[in-house]
Amino acid sequence: MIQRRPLLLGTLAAPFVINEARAADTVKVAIFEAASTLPYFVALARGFFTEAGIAPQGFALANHPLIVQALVAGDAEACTNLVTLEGANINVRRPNTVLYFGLNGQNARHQMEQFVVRANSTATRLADLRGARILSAPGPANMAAARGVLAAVGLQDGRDYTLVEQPMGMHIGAMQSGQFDAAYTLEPVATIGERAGAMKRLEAGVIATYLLGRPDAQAYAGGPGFSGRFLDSRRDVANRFAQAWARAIEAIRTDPTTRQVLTSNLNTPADLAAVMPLQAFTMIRDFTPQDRADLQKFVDIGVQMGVVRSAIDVGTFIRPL
Amino acid sequence: MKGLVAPVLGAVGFIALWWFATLVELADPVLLPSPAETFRDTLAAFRTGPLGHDLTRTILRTVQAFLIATAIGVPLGIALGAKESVYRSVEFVVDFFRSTPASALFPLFLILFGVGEGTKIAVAAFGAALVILFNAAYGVMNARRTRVLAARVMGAGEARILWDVLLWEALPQILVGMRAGISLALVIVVVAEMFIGSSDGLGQRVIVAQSLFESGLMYGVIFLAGALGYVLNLAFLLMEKRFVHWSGR
Repeated sequence: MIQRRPLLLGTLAAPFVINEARAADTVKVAIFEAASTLPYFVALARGFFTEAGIAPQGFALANHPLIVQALVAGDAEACTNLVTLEGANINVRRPNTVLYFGLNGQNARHQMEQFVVRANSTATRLADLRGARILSAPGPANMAAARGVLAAVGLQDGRDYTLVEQPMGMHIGAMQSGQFDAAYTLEPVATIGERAGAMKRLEAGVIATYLLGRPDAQAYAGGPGFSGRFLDSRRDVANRFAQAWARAIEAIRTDPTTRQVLTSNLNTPADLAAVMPLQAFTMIRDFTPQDRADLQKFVDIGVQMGVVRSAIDVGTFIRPL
Repeated sequence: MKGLVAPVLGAVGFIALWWFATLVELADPVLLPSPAETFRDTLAAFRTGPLGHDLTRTILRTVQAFLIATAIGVPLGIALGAKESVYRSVEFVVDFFRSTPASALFPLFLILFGVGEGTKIAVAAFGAALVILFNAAYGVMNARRTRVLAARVMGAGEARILWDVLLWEALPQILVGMRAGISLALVIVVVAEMFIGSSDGLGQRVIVAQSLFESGLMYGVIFLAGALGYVLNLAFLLMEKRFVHWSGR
């Protein structure tokens, strides 16, 4: 026999219970708009977040210090592609601020940072840049990396070459106008510049080859992460977010049509999106001991160069989810 | 001495407000350091770091840009102001570029002046020159008609009227333009140091401190840039009082 009181209470509670079951968990996500944020947009476009019960609220920020600031202030709970050295820096200063669940590797195969020269240059190796006027991608980390790589081939700033940082948007124009002989630049500028006839690749993946010591090493320069506060308080949501991310990485590896997202969400021309190099998107849970050693060496070099304020064990800011 | 009380009170009030905000932890201390920490970090950067050199470089660039802007803006503004119809024909160009953010013109100046000091100084001089030119031209055009007519009735020629009447009539407005011009030159120089490639200067130091999360130093340098702007403005105000005492009479 049906009792009236439980039935009434059940009926009144039903909308809340059903709503709770259906409502996706929101996550505030800080985005730096670059090709390295591809897994985020693939997970969004392919419905991986929706299937995981996540409703990301993404917002773009213009540079990495602002992303860190948003994570510290609680305005962001996750980030899509924060520079590792920035993450290491803030974790030295304020432990547990950002915890990476993935990192993006770059080397000669997964091209990102590279030296390029003018299209008519006779240089064939980095040592040929003696006497060159070189422009660099902006920021102390990029400048230090460029100097470190050139030092590894015996060239010294001021004595053998001059290095001036320039915003990414000006690299192609500055090379084309003849103001510089070479550039330490990043993708997709190098591919665009090469296709425009303004520059040609001299060597890519230079951090892995010259600073980490192996051409097949991975320079884990950036990746997705959560704020420590978010990971502690909403572990289940973070886990589901990371699973959706892992599915997106798998889709990028196996399905070239995912590159269309570069065009639809990241303003990349379709012909460029089809050919531009991508980083090695990796989950921390798939890290090998060698990957971890590469990451530690990369951060240690950052400390030596003065762009990370003091030594830090990378284990304190990576999490296998 | 009396005149100093109000500005000092304003500065003390600002610092007290800042101190209170850090005391109640309005923001995370990593993001908003206390005035004491900011002062300590800034002082350390002066003693052992490159901040003294940065400040000198920014001042030098600003002064160079301002001198170029004045050398172009004042004579051109007076000449254009003396012939109002000519000024009206170039008014669109002046107002157009005056309203264009100087930072948007960085790529153009980079092509024209290369990657060295030239671009930073040229883009700041360009922005400041327009403000000075605009004020000089309006200073001449708004000269009191009665004084011009009186000089004409007394037989003065156009050149003499320009030299003996219009120039003096316009001088207060020219100095207002120069005051605005030097402030603008400072702002553009700092922005250029931040974004178009520099190895020194206050703008570059802000960017580096921001990247390394040295918030105390970052706010200290921002404060320093503001204080520099204030001092330059004050110097011009004192100069105006001293040299153009007839202003408004």
